Amino acid sequence: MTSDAARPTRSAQGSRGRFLALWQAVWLIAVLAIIVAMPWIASAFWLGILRSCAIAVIGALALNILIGYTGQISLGHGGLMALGAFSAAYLTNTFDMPFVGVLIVASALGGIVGLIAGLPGVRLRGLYLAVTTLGVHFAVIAGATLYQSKVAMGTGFRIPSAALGPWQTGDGRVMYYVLMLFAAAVTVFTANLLRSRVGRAWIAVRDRDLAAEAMGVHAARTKVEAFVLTSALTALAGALLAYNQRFVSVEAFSFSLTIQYLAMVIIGGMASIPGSILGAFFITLLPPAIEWLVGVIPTPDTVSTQLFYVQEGLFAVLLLVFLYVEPRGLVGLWPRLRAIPSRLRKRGRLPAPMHP
Amino acid sequence: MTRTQPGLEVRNLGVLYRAGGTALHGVSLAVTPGMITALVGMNGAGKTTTLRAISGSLDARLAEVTSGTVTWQGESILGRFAHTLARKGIVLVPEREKVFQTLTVEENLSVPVKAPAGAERHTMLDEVFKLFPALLGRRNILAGYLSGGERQMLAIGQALVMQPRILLLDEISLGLAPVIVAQLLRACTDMAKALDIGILIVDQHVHAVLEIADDAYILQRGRVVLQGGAAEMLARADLEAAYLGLKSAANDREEATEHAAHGHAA
Repeated sequence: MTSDAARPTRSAQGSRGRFLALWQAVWLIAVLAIIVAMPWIASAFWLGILRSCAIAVIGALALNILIGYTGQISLGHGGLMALGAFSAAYLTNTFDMPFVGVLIVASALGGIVGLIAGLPGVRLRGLYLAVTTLGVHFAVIAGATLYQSKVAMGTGFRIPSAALGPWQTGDGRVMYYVLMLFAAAVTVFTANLLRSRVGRAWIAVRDRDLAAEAMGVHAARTKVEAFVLTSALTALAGALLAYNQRFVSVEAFSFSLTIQYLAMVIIGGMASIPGSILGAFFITLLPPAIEWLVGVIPTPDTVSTQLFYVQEGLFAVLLLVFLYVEPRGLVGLWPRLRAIPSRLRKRGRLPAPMHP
Repeated sequence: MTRTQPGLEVRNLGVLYRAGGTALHGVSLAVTPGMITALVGMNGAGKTTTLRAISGSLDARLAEVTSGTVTWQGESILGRFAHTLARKGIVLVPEREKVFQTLTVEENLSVPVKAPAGAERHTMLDEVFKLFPALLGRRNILAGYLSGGERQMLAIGQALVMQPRILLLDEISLGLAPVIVAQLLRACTDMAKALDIGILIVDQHVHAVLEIADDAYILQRGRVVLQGGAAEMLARADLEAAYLGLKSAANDREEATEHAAHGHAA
């Protein structure tokens, strides 16, 4: 009897477990086509914004591993980006190291700093951990400021354009494809990791570490591993940022960068890969979109002259609205939107479930 | 009820709360593979603390072991990490939230580090579903949506995947209907005998637990005040009133019959 009952569920799981359903494949191809065609559609300005989006995707995925999936907190994200960027500045200026070498060394340095930053997480939680990771931010920024003032007379470092075989990343279009490839690779890597034993251990430790330990999971090591991976990927994003801007200066890595990345994860969706991507695009596109809107729609002069404050204010309001209305973030909106037609049909009969 | 087979041996275990006050004053007990040992007592008697101290999962910020030894097959295991002991086969099923709510039932069963991959994974899942058929239809459902009874079954299933030799069960029947409690306890008996697992069980349902247990210990304010065969304890009607602060056994049984009658009426 049990084996009979097993059959339908297992076959159902078989079809669900197929790599991609048809409509998913159609979506994927459409999105890929748009991404590939962008350099011919978008202006140089908007292509630059999209390059920043790709870097933000890597940074947001990295942060979501730590706070979304492992349940830890880090306020050192901006500092780790700075670490990656300044590693790129140091390695290119001092050793003339090639692109790929810089990325590897920068990620490794990020991992080492992540190991140190993650150790307090073994014993500390919540606010206490947040404060220790804040220390990472200030330590890296202090070191970078010192280096910048001694070597670059306080102005910053120029980063040479990188060569990947015959292609020069100095060309904005080539760099766009390189960054999109990195973002895609990190997305696939993270998605696979989450389906593996490693990902399940992160979630187990987040949900209930006592029970996770009873399952033989080394909770302390799992937390530190997540810190190391997050930090390595963040430093990678920082190094890519340096190559994208062709210039590194400590002023670009203020604490508000950390807040922006936290916002990407929260607004996009905690513990969600599509959420990280949506959040990264949303937060990166928001300021230029507002600027564009102000240019198109007639607004009082005070708005256009105080644009920065308008952007910051709107950002804060959005964050609050999201935390209040949809704690699941942008990814949480999709099931709601999908439920609207059936809800309209059923109006007056039965209340539709809020969270399908 | 003595056996020569070496098992889990706790001698003179003392635990101190850092906030002040002693939790355990020299508790001694033994758990033998293949047998069920019940640990009963009032709230605050130190039952959960005992299980946590044995399994290495005492919160170091709140409590510390001050005396005694814990040995498994003659080897000292006191002070080892919880995950190390779990890998050795000494597995705790903690009180309350024990399953991972955002993972499905199948994913939950894959969290244990000893969970096999590939073809063996299906054999493992089938074994758990054979023991708890209720979980079969819920295999792709998030554990957060399971009922209380199903969560307990899943937690025990997870513990079984760790191939335990000693299972420490903390209040597996908390807040469950009597029918489900009976079902869970029956599964425990089957497991202990079929897989030669030693079970140390802490439970509020004193009667039901003593009925399935081989040995029993009564804990009162951090001390073992009575130990012996579970059957003999069950026979002593005065026991519960004297040590467990409950109504008399006869009273309790009456209530249970009443419950059943109401159930039929409804």
